[in-house]
Amino acid sequence: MEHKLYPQVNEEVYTHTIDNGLQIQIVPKFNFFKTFVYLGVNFGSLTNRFIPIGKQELIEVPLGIAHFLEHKLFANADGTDASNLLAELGLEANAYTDYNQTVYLFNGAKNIEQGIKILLDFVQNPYFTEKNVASEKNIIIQELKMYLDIPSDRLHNGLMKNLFEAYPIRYDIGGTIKEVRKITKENLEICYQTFYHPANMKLIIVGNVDSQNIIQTIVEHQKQKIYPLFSPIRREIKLENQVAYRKNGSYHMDVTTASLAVGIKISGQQFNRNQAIIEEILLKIALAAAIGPSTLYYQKLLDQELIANHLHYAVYFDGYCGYIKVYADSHNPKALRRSLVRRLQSLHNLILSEKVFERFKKAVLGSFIKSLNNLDFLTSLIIEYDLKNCDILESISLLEKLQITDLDSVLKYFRKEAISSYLILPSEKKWLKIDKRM
Amino acid sequence: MEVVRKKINNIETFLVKTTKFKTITVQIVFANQFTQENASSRALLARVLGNSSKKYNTKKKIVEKSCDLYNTEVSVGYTRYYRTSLIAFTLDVVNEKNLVDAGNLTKKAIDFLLDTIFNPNIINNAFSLKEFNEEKRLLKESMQKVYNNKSRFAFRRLMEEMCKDEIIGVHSTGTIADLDKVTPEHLLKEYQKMIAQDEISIYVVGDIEEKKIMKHFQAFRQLQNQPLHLEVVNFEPFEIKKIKEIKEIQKIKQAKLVMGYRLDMNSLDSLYPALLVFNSMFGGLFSSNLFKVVREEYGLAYDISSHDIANNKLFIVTAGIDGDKYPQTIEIIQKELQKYIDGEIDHDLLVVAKESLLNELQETEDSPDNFIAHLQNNYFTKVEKSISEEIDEITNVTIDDIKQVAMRIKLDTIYFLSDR
Repeated sequence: MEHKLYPQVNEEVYTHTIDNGLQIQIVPKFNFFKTFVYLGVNFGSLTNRFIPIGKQELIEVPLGIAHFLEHKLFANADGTDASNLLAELGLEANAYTDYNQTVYLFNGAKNIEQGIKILLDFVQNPYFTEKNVASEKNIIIQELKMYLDIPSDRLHNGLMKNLFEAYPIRYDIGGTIKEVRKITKENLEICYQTFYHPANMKLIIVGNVDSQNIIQTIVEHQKQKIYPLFSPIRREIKLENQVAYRKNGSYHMDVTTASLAVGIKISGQQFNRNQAIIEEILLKIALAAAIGPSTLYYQKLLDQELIANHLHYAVYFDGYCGYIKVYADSHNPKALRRSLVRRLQSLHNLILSEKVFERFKKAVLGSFIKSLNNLDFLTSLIIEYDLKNCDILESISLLEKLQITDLDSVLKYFRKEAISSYLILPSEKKWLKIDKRM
Repeated sequence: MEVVRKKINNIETFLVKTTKFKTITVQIVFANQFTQENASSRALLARVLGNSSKKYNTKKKIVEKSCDLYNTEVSVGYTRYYRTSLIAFTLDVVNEKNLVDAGNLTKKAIDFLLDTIFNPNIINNAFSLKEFNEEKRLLKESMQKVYNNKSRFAFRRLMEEMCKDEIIGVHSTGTIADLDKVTPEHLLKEYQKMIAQDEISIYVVGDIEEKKIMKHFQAFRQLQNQPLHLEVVNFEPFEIKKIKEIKEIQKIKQAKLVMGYRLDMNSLDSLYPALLVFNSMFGGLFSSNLFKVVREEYGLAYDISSHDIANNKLFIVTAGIDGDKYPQTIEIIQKELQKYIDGEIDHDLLVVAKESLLNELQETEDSPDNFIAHLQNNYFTKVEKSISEEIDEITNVTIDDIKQVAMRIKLDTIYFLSDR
């Protein structure tokens, strides 16, 4: 068991990798009542072409399998449901799938060790039948239909389709209705056997626990589980060029306001240790300084009523591709788009004063410290950044070392050819058409 | 967590000293009656106060100040409980003990908070026009945006139809027509009324020193606000003449079903803990009736759940389904409810539901916001209940209690937003 201290944030972490490859990280938080346990599998919606375990040939499976597996694993062969077993112990269970991982989690104020055993048991014992696969399909199709009516989901997926030609980020995490219909029991089994190996998983525990005891319990529990030797899984990644695939696109929905997303494509990022955190912080500072609510630009958007409420932005990297996304509701989406595209292109030459840079550094610092109050959020951050070769608890020391000249490493992303946009428009042209040029 | 209570004239002050959190949270609540007439203006007042003050009169100045203070957030929230309207000023600041060289951060942050409350952006006997207009526009946008979230929209339509002439049918932000009528002069009067007449309470959570914190609240010593008679829970009787069914059509991929039931009890009733347990069993858990039957057995919905709004004497069931499955879904839901009325109640599910609620209660002391909400609930309902008492009440719920609750649930209105 290794022990690392983070004196700047007054936290500590215990880590241990057991014989079968499962990695464990524990952050003790003794004065909280609840403990959060997240088990992450390195298999998300972006992987659908890979070489299965024990084989030589590359295969392709339908989209949406990682999400399908997430739904299915809760069902046990003896007819019990894992979330019910956990609930009986006073533990609340859930799961989610994102682009890069599938996470099974629970939280509670007692019975944590028992809960961990149940969690590992249900994830490590799949139960698929033709019948339960067929009935889950119907439920997932209802879920996908629900997302089709959510403007922000449509907006995001539309933008991804415009930025990326083939990278699977262009599809909803759950897949499409057509693809989900194609999923078979055999598909699920192959993916499960390949990706659900302990060496491809991480267990993160944050809360009121005794690290030594927990690790001991897990080691004992896993002793009986025999797995083949793990070799790194070969996934085929459709790499993209640096140019946005399509410039524009739109979709009509029954909404009162239009919404716009402008995206910048980033491709070919390789992650050195903690590099993803640094790049994200720098990007967030650059965006805050250029289009954030403290800028005259933002005020101009409000004065001209180009945004209907807030202007948001998000940043994503995964080691192969990434994006910067800026989005807002607008009654004048085309004028907003012109303005934003021009503004984002100009970021290539952004100049900031030291004062402004230091100000934003303080804000990032404050925001990070606050996040340590929320154990659920902290656990999710640890598991997300670990996958990107980052130690999120080192954020403060990384932040302190940042200089204004470091911004150059991210300003290079703001190039005209990498920019694309997507619009969600109301069905009837009820919205105000003031096409004033700025 | 230990709570120390102080009083500044009539202002109840709750001080919670704990080393658990890396922040200090201060919430100052101004409470008054909620009416159709003041709904929009108080909603707008909260926005205007939160987005500009005399000293920080632009968004730029506010955000820069917030960044300089290590992402200190001062937010102004507006909520409504039955006939009570709350405007809450919340400060969230990193405790300077976690920083090197923070230079009196707590005092600066609290000054920022007090500036937001006592130093509004007033020019010539009215709120400054530019900021007023901007916030009015943004509030209007957010009110219109409900249409885009079909689940929220469907719920709103149900409330409009079911509670047409009742205070609970009035939306918390009023109507757009009401909002349009508010002027900068009118809003100033609303502000003055808030400062002079609202019932005020103060909540502080963090690693604080009592004397030091109380010194920061000197400005409140001048206020002579009296306690008000504020109702946060509905005691009004209801009558269901005939079950209403309303169907509307939009171009959507999935239909939204909302079933509105009246509750013959409220959140102060002795059966309230049983209602919470019933809600979990019926439609709150993965192993609940609605989940197991409507979703898992019949595959009719991914998103299905029940919700209690006991302080309004309401109980709601919501589901996202295909448009042609309306009659089938209604039938199944009513059948499941009938099981409880007939006493067909699963004991194992009762145990799981209790465990789930107890787990939720354990979260109360794990976040400043949750603990403040707990203190406020006690304060406004005038019932002092500790968390361990709440835990006992849930633990003691019996099968018969559950049956009694089910018998108090009466279907009033069904709203269906269909795709066909």
